[in-house]
Formats: sequence, C-alpha cells, structure tokens
Amino acid sequence: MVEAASGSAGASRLQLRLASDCEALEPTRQAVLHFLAPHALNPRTIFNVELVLEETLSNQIKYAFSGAAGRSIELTVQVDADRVAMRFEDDGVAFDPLRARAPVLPSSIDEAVPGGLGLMLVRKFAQSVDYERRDGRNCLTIAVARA
Amino acid sequence: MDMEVTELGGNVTCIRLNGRLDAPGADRIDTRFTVAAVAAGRHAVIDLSGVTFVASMGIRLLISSARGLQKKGATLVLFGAPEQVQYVLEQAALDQIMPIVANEQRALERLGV
Repeated sequence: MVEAASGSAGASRLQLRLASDCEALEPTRQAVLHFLAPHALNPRTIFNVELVLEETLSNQIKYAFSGAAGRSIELTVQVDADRVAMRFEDDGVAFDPLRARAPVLPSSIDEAVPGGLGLMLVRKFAQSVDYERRDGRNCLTIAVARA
Repeated sequence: MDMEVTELGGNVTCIRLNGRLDAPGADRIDTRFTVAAVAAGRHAVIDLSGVTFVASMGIRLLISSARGLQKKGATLVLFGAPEQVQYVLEQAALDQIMPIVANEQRALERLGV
C-alpha cells in the first residue's frame, strides 16, 4: 500500500510510493509523521502539513485515475529551515489545481456547496502551491511554512 | 473517530466526537452521525472538544447535517472546538452558516433552552 523509496527519521527528505486507494491515506500519514518527528516541528506546522496531505491525496485518489485500480502516487516530503515542502506526482488525468475556480465562501447554509472545499483549504494553509505537467505527469509542489 | 450520543434537557440531542474528523473518520461515523443528528428533527449540539483534526470531509458532514436539520425546522450548534480546529472551521466560513460557540452552556443558550 505504501512503500518508502528513501528517507528515515532524521533525514531531510522522504520519498513514498502509495497506492491510489483511500486505504493508503492513514499509513501515508503515519509514515510522514514518523519522518517529521525528529525535526521538532511546531504542532501548528504539523497540523497544516496533515491538512495539505489529506486534502491533496484525497483529491488525487478520487480524480486522477478515473477510478482505475492499481495506480500509484509518488510523494516526496522535504524539511527545510523555514518550510516543509511536499511534492505529489501521478501519471493520471491532467489537472492544474491553480486553474480551478476558488469557491465562493457561503453566507448561509443554503449557499454551502460540497465542491472545492479541499482545494480552498490547501490554498489557505499553504505558503505556496506550484504545478507543472511534465512528461505526462502531474507534479504538484506545496510548501507549508514552519510556524 | 468515535461518537457518543446523549439527550440533554429540553429535548436536545448532544453528540460528543472524539478523534480525527478527516476523510476516514467522517466515513466511519457518517451514517450514525446523520441519523443521530437529523432523523428526529430535534435541535442538536455537537461537542468538538475531543476533535484533534478536521478536514473537508468532516466539514461536509457537519454542513449536510445542519442543512438536514434546517429543513426540519431545527438547528445544529457546534461547541468546544480546540484552537486549530476552530481556525479551520473559520477558514471554511462554517461560522458564517451555523453557530459555533465556546461551550455546552453557550450552545444551549443559543437554542433558547
């Protein structure tokens, strides 16, 4: 479900390959937390990293492969002095989240629509979001500032 | 994510949540939560003091339940969210569409109970 390509607790970079399956979310989260533990990050930073991880991977799993089984996502996590950078790669359907229209925040329960909330939260909690399509792959890099 | 359902005075349903309100957590309690919060058409207060994390799927569950209750003429009130959970709820503008208060007493006061 989740394979570590490199990186152990204490290293500055973690590389994982995970199955495009909801069952991979929790083991991936645990692997990232284990990797981050020695870096003594502020709890707020950890929370924000987890939020970006959850929202981005959930969207990739749901939409990148149109339901096809047996596909995988590559995740790289890098810890720098001032940020935690996460790179999400897949060879699924081309999707640039930066082009997705930001949802209008609702002012009443009737206006609340189900779509777009995850992307909106990523934009609010990330320091930067960068996307490129290269060699048939989606490459999304999201940085969370260290609090 | 675990949940405990009790009934408070004034015919109010109280649901206490413990754990992560992420995609797996929301999926785990989705049906039970919706039934407990909405089916009877009573006012409901949701204790978030035990929630350690919240993401969009958890927020969707809260919104759909609040909407379901509104259709039945009742109200969903959230209370006790830890600081970082509260911040996420505010960033999602949830505080603009349903009451989010500090504690259980304030939640009941909000319902006029």
